[in-house]
Amino acid sequence: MSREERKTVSIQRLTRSAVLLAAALVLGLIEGFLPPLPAPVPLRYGLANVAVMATLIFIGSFEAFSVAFLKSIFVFMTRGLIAGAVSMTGTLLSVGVMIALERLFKRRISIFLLSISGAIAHNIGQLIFLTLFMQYRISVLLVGPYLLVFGILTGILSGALLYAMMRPLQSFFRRNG
Amino acid sequence: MKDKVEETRDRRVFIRSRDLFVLVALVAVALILYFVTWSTRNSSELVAKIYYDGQLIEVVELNSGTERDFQFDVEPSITIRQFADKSIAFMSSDCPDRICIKSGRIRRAGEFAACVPNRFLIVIEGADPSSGQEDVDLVA
Repeated sequence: MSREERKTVSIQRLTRSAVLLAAALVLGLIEGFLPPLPAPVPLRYGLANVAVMATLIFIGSFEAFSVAFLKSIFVFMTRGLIAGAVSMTGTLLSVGVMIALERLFKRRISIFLLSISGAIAHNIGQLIFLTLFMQYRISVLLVGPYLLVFGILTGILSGALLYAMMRPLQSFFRRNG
Repeated sequence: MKDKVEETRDRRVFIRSRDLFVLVALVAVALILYFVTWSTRNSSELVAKIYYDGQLIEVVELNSGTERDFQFDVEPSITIRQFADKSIAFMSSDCPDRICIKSGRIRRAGEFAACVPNRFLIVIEGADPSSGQEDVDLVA
């Protein structure tokens, strides 16, 4: 690969990651307008995770981490320190787990497994933040079943959205130059 | 070679049959946790514990027929209302996201609603003190 080509590839990765970051931000905004999940504990749909998973699958681990991290930075800037911190713990744990699984399964993990793992890790991350911030007042045994079941449900939702978007994403990312 | 890499990247299955084992395992864990806490969940007397900044500031017995509002000097913008149907909810708050209010009414053991910016937390627990032993902290 010549120097020119390598430069083109890295610019391509950068611009593609930027497009997916923009998608993650928009999905996060849309989620804010949706009615709250009919869950007994405060949980989110995790729509932005669709863009993070697309980055992980089509570009790479580092780019996926960057998209997730910058998305949380955006929450810091627009919704304040505490909302940002809640977002950050869930998002970073979620993307960490997904990157680990993606590597463990040598890039062949099914979308279903990837997305429910990410959703459950996200819920656990937020629970860790809440228990630390609220001085351990939430019983894990009592809340655990809700987090697992709703993690599975929201994971299936975001996984299905990603799967529906696979063809358009493939044609977008196949194009070179 | 390059094409092969592209293939494995792009061709993703939605679900494999072996993923169902993971799904069953997760649901099993959820069910086990659910039944381990069965006695707390089904204790007839439930209380709503209201915490501010990690300190327990109010214990509300969730009796049917009682409906009243709670306000606290530490954060006047917060109103918590106990409903006659044994549920409790955040009614007002000056926080930007209103996640606490959107959480709606909570009524079952283990359910919680939190206003993180105002450091308020409502958790439903069993009133029976012995059932408190099941409340294992995440970091004990």
